[in-house]
Amino acid sequence: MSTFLVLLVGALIVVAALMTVTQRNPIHAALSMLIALGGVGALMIGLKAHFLAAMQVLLYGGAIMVLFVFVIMLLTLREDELGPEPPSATRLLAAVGALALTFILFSALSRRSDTEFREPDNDAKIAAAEAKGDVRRRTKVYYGSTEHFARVLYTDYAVPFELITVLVMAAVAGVIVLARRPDSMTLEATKLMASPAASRAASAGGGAA
Amino acid sequence: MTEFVLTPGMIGFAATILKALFVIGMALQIVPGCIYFERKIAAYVQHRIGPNRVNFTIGTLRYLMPESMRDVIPEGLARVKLIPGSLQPLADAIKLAFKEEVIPEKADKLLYNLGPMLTFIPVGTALCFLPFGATLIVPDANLFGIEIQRTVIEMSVSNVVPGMLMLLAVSSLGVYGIACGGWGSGSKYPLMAAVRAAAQMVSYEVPLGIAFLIALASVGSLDGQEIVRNQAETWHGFGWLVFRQPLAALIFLVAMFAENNRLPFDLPEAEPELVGGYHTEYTGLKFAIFFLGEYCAMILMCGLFTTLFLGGWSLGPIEPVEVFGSTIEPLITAEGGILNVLLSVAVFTVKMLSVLLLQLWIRWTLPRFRYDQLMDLGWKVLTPLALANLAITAILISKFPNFTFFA
Repeated sequence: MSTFLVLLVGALIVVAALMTVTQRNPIHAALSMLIALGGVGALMIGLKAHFLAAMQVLLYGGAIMVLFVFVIMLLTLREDELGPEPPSATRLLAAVGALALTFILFSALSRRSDTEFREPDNDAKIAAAEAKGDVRRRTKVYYGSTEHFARVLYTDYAVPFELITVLVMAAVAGVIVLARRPDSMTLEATKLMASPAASRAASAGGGAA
Repeated sequence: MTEFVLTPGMIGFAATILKALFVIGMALQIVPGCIYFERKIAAYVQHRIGPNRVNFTIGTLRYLMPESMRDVIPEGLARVKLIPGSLQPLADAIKLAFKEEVIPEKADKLLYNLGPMLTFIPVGTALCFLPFGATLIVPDANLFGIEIQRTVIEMSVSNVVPGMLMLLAVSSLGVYGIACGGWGSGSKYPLMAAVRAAAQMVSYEVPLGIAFLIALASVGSLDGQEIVRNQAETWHGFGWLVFRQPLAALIFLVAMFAENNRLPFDLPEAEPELVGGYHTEYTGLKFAIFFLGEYCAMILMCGLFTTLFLGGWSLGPIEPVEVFGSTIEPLITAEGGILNVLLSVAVFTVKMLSVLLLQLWIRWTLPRFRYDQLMDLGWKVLTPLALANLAITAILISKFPNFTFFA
């Protein structure tokens, strides 16, 4: 991808991310976050990781942010219900936390990956599959392809992947425990609200890993 | 004279623009026809006549003739209607275009205006990933001193490899249009409709996505063209996934209705409960764009069902097959000249319109679900069935890679 596009999309992401935290209206903030997530998807397309881009849009755009918007709409906050401005100490802490997270992410990303991509012998593989009469194995494995992604995820990163699954399961269990408090809500309402949210969080979280 | 050379890059670029225009043009052309047929089918089901006033008559042809010849058509024949009511969609469009634009005072202006756009843009984008025809091969040729180089043109606007996944991803963003429109109207009923729509579409995306995965796993590819070719290569050209995976096809069909907010799942537009639905506060062309987006989403989903389960653009085998000792030549091949492509596009269109007809027909046949019934069907019936089907398919594929029932 040309540098121009990286800069353009990057600028868009930064602006949208800033708007996410500065907008007073929660729906506007959520939609700004959607733009930022979509921008990350665009960057992935630029890196030829089409599968990851599709997953980014499908899970974050089509599932997680829909639930954010859904919950915000259910609460329908008015201006006076948004609460007072947070104290400056909280803001300072938030800024320090954000900087620390940036540092951690940056140091993690700048470390050179130790797994090099080896271009497999596609043509020989496809010929072998066709000779066996297996018509389903014609897809090429190239950098960023679904096959490559799956291979890396389920071999080199299998343990982190499984750990994240456990984390998401714990979150789902927590949601059910919190939402099922009998004194705060009727059973019917709990069912209506918890079932889409809980199951969606599970599938979305699993994919995000 | 220096010879002008058309390289594959140039032909491909031009073809992409033409394909994009074709796809959007087709979708927008089908919508008025769809509205007309919706009304006619409704009338047929309910023993009414339906729209029969706005149309051309044979007498209209008089205006194309020179004045002296107008008496050729007798008065009785001149009153005969050409397709009664066929201009009703045009009349509707003119009515909508001339309506006054009213923006509610309490509306969030930005979201209110974004709503219709966000319904239409994802659908229009998703249509780009739909494979609507066989691959076109432009051969080496020399036309009027212009040298044409051999080019392979895939009949989908964008042919990235996980195209089907991209399609699903982009079309899942359609819910924001409804959410923004409903919330941005600043009115209670549209808001309730938007909440219903968000919950319903997110819920039914789960069985839809899993049914989608079953189809992809049976074929072993995320590429739309590959999915169609695989179906045409199995079972002498009729290994359509609707036969190989009937349960997944049924689940997809049901979830498709819910995703499009069509009856029997049209709770976001339940007039008796919600005045109108998420578009209650919209008038004029903004309402029209909501309408257009909704119908285009129907066309998209029907096209997707055709590609995944009905063999896409293929009709019969795509390569010569031996049946009882005799060789049958394919009617449509996977790659070929312009005639082959046109035939495949026609086949795809006919299949897609058949599914569309089914959607219109069911709307006037089944009553609306209650909200809890809707959620129960999605989460307690369709999702477990789809998951079980996926698990069985996955086991069979990994244990018997050449098992012909699934693969």
